[in-house]
Amino acid sequence: MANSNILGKYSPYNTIIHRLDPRFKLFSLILLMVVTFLPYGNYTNRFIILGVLTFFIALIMIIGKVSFRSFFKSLSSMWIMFIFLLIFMFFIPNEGKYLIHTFENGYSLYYDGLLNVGHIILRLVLMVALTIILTSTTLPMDITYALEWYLTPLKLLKFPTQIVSLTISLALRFIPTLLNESNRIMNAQKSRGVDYNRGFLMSKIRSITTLIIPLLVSCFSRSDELAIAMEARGYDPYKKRSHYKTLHFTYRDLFAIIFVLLLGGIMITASIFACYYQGCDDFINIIFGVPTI
Amino acid sequence: MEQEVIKVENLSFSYEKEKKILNNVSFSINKGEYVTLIGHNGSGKSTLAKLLSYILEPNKGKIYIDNEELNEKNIKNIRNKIGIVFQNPDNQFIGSTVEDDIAFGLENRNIKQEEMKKIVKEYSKKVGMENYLTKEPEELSGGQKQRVAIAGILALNLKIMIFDEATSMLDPEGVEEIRNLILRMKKENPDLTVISITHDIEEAYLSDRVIVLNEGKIYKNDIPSKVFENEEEMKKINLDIPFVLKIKNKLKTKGIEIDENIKTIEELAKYICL
Amino acid sequence: MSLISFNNISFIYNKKDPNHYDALKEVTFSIEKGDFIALVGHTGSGKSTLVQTLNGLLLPTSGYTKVLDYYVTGDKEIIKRLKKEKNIKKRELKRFSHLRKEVGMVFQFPEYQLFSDTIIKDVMFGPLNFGLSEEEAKKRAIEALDEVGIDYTYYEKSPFEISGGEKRRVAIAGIIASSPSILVLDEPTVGLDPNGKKEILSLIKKIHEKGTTIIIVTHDMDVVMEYASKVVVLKDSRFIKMVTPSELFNSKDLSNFSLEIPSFYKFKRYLADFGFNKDITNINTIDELVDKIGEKYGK
Repeated sequence: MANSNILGKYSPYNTIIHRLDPRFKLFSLILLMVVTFLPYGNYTNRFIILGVLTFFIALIMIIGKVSFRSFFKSLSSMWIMFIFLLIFMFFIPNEGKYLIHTFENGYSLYYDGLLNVGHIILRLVLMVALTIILTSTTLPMDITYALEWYLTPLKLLKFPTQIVSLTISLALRFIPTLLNESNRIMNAQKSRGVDYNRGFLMSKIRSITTLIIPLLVSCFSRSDELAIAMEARGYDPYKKRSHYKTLHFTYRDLFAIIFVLLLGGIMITASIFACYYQGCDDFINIIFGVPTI
Repeated sequence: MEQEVIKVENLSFSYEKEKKILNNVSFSINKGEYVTLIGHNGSGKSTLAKLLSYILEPNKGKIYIDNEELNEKNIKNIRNKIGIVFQNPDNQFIGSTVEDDIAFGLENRNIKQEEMKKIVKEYSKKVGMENYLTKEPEELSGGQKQRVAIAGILALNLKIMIFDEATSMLDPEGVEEIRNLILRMKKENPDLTVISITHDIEEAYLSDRVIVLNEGKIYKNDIPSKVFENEEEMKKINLDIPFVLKIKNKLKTKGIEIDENIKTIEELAKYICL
Repeated sequence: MSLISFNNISFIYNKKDPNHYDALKEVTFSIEKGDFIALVGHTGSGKSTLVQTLNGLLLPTSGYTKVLDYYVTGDKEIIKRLKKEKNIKKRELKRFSHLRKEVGMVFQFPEYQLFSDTIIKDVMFGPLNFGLSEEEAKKRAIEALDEVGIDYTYYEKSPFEISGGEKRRVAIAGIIASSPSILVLDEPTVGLDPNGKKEILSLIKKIHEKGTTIIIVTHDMDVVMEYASKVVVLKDSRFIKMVTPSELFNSKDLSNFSLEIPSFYKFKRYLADFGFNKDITNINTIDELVDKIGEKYGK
């Protein structure tokens, strides 16, 4: 019951976004993330483009009934990073184009830093939003199926995709079980006088071992029993297995993919043009978006 | 002639140097029988369960399943004849949802998808879980999880089913669910052989035959009414007797005979009153 | 004054979430010193939540649980009132160390709390946490292990190399070693065979006879019938009633609480349903009942 999941949790609605093919969703997630991180020349361009993206992403969140609450919750766990960025990008560089104020000791603050922080934070927020859209509209199992599908070419190189995807799905399956278990163990140890919140390094480490050791012991016995149960039901990792669920690509997915590709295409073109006219030949610029103008 | 599906011959087992946990045990089970195996902790019954499901290998003696010796070479073949429901409901739930879990064994046997969908539907109905197909294990009770495990094995259409203390971690409601399910299953498919290792004596009373283990040896091997006949004898090896029999025995000392076929509390009350 | 009292307590899981869930609704009752209470109700009726307010693992969203002279609450109104009327500070309300020493809590599958390299160290862990000296803790541990029937040859063994039933007894020793005055057990017999069950239950009985107040959460009605002095019934997060076991099993509304009925009472019920012609309402043993049946047959 004490589920805190930073990257979002599946919410069982049945919206258009939920029904889309997970392979497509995974692909769009990556494409849109790349698009957010492309260079778009000067600040005006950047904020216009990010504004457009924000609009679409917000729209998708509304259509997919993604809980804004859990979205802000995940953001709130990142506030330390935001402050760190603010200090780093705004207060430290002593250069820029648009001066705000020069202090008596000669130190100057520039608007550039502020714009830059805003830009980076906006990108991060969009990234979190995209991830949350994926996780809250797609079952973990379906994400695994999608991953397995993308890994299929590796089969040619004798990579055991089937085993890897089964392992991932088992891990996902056992996360809630183990969360419940650690909750129970912690309660038992608290009742024996362990205080997980207080104490300094050494006593903290000691209290954590009272959780970790029992949890490991139980994990071992669980995996042992699980392996026996799987074998008893005829599992053989190297035999061909059929699939109960396969993914189906529909017309709906086709429309969606055309839309996403168009959006991505426009953004990439915009980026290329911006780079051509305003110059952003620096590789670092492309990756980190640090302005060199 | 009755067809033997399980034959255990002079089976012995011990961990290194320790005293024998199983000592020269022999018995056989016929096709379509429902046999329960009981005994208190340390009687060797859980070791026997492990030997039957080939988690352990015997030191001495042999086990034949459907006339095939149980060994390293044959095990893959034998897995297609025998299904096991284990004790811990969580640790045998492999799929991420009910339908995925029922399908797991079918996937391993490379069954076609359309066919799988049909089978999953059919067998989830048999165990009364058809409305829970997309549920995840966290949303189910222990009894429901065990029913899913049973469906997953029934779906494979095997000859033999072993229940390895499948009800010992369940609440009374779950125990009752599984008890009734086994009886229903047997009614629908008389050819299915069921072996249940259990400490639920009420379940034992409802089975066709009871094998009692004590200190690594077979203590009794008979129909339930004969096995539980002598209360004192059972108490001696730390086993209780079913409630209905307790009443029957007490009435017997008063000279009141109750029909042999009466096995449930409801039937007994009805018999007395009508 | 009562040893423990639940005062109009409610508990809501994920209070701020849209899918919050009321685990307890306005529960009020009290428990006296020396009681052996069985807490029953269907799965999800709120039993486990209720007992976790006893040592501050969960704080009631409204209302308060009073144990000895501790107030366990997360209700802002009550916290304010306590400060005003009794001068109890908020800070003090969050210190549970002493309360947890007084209320021993045995969870389901307690063997999963074992973590030390030797049994004796594991049992000493609780007493040491509660501030006892090494020497005193060891003395207590030995007494506790004695009580659960684990002898000295086991002390230096690893708790991971003993049998399941022994592990459970060691885990229970780890709790009674802090000599709590209240012992709470959540389904202590799940997964054990009938003998293991009997062992644990007679152990609990022994602890009760020494004056410890026992609260046991259970599904097993035979346990209720045989050991409990009073039964508390919960249904759908609400307190229904507190009665003696035989009152509970003879009551007409029993089937409303989705409880399993012990074979004996089930039998009585069926007899009544099928129109048994003798009065058996006040009969509570098998022998008496068999006598009545004998009378019917004229023997």
